[in-house]
Amino acid sequence: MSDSIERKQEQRGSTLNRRDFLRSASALAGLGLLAACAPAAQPAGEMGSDAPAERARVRYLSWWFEEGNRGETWNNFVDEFNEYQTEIEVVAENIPFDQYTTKTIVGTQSGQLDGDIVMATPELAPRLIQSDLLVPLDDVLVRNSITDLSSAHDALRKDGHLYGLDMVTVAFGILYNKDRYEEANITPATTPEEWVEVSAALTDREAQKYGFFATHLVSEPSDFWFQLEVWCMPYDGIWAEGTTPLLTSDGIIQGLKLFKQMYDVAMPQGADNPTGYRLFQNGDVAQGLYVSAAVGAFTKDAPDLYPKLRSAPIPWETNKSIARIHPMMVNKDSEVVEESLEFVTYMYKPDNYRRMVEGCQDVIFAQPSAARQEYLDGLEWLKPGYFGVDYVTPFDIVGDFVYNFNEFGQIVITNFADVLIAGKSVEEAMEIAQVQAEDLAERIS
Amino acid sequence: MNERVDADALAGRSGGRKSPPRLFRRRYLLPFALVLPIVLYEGLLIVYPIVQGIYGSFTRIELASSAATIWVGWDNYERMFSDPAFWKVIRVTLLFTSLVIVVALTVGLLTALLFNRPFRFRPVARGMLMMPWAIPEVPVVMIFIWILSPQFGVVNILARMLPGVTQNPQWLQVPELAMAWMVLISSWKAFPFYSLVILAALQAIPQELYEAARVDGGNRLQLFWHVTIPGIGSTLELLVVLAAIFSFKQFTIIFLMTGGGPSGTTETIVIRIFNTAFRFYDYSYATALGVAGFVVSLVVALVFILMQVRRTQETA
Repeated sequence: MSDSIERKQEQRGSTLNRRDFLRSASALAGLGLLAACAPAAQPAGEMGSDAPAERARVRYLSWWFEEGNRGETWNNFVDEFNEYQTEIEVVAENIPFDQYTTKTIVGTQSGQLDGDIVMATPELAPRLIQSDLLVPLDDVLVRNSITDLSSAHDALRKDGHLYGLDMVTVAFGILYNKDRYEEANITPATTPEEWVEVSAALTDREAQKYGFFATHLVSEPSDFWFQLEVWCMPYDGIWAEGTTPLLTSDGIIQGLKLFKQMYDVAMPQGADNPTGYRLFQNGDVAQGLYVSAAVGAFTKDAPDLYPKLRSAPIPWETNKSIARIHPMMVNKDSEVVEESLEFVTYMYKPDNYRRMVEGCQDVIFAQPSAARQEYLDGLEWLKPGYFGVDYVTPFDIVGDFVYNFNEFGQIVITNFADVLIAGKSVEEAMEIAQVQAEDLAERIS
Repeated sequence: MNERVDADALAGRSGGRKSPPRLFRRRYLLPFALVLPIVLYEGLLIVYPIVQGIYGSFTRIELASSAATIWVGWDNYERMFSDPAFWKVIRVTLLFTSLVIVVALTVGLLTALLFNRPFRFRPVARGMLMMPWAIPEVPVVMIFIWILSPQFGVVNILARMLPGVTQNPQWLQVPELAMAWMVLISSWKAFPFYSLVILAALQAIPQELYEAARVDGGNRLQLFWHVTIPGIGSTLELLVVLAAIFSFKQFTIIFLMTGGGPSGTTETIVIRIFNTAFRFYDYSYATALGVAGFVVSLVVALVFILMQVRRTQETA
């Protein structure tokens, strides 16, 4: 009997029973959890009492670290700053542009603003400022003795403090391929009507040659609205004043009719944004309304096209165009506020700022005195389209809807798309849009 | 005696007996301990977000704002029910869902019938049949965007062979064409799965039934109608429900190809929810729309459960 029991006990001892299994699994899970919570192992060289003090890590969030020469310039500056001193390490984190605003806003709602230094769009910046999520940057100006900051920064102030410093101002202008103009023996237009004629003359649909391209698909809402917002300019309109939408005003109706004319006579209808961009690169599209920041990107994306690029003067009397500022901001909840401010101060030193702007091939200087005339003279495409233009900001043309920029834009583009494809009149479409925008105003006020 | 000792030993009862609390823990608490992880998982990742979503639909939340969340009661639902755009979205969703169910299941049934018959290279053809289902949605979208491009799309060549077509059609810009393409692409992507399931059901129908029907003088159509369809009836019911749920929540293809346009003709409820939450940051209203979508899905699931219960009762 005892032999039998012993044998069975031995047998049980050599096999894994349920309790043993659960015990082992819990132990392993516990160990795994501990391992996951443990700090990351340091390289052997950094351990020991003689190791240099650990650098404070500053996370810098932006969408441009992978953008052609802009990305290269910024990555070089981050490296330069990390070598320039030994106490701070700035880490560049890229978030694609079309996800940037949503990630920032949703992230903020679910806890706190992510990153220590964040870039912002003209629409995101006021939202962050209003929500008290940022550190004042006035000290950066004092430390760098900057007294000539551009007036566009007025929109970045609250209670007398400045919360953002512009790192790139992009402005819309008419960019064209000079070869296409020369082939058609055409000179730049001086009025909106002439502009339509010029664009029509550059178009041969059978040969897949087009006079103009602008994004016009509802499936690309951000790009569509981003470009359509400029079309209030030709007839000096504005989309809204305060919380009052002005979608049925004459300036807007006339501007949208002009877009519709261009769509009818000169645009590759139904083409998406990448297709339009490619057609322009190939010379199949002759001109477009491009922001100045995009021109620099052609040096890498289309080196054959770049030397042929020229800008046309703004063909409307007011000579107005939209300029969009993109400020650098510091997160109030960051654990490394001082270190973040060090990097912002470094970037805003007039000499560094100038090198950054030139490296990105930008043309509008937030510190006007930092601009170097030789640099500007060397850009063949700069004049006259991007030079001497009267710039207005999104605040000036969409009023308080700047805080609900996407939703306001969605109302406009959805209704305007009916004009482009469903044969609705601009007046009819904008009347519906006006009612919807008024509803939006009521909801957000 | 020996047997008693052995049984105790095998049951792990050292000393021949175990204290009652320990036995209770093993017999009654262990099952609960074993299901605890899945309950926690479901609770945290499924039930909690649903409850949070329902709660959110009764509040006003301003994303990235210092404004406090406020309780607004039924305001979001009142707004939803009085919003013509919501009813348009519901109509579009139901139309899209119904068309995808009809097209995908019809094609799935026809291909299953075809593959149920022996022919040369059938295994290879069956493998190829599954390809649309196996390809991820984003590459499918990219391919179709190219195929349908008004400038470069290959489908234009075919279209221009038709009399009266002199310009490349704007496939995704004309409302009717856009909806048709959304249905076709979604059905093309989904039908292999339905085909495979129907094929399995077809192969489970006893051949004796067909033989008996033939002996009774049944022709092919009668065999299909009186033997095949009843034989795969329960499978088809299941697939209708699955197709309804899958097409109801179709997002990627529509969002990337039309964004809900033109003129909102392809804007289904999931596209509306996404735009409302993540483009307009109107989070509270988006959760109300989400609850509406959840209710519709729930109704579809309940209908299926009732059908299953009825079928079980009939069988019994």
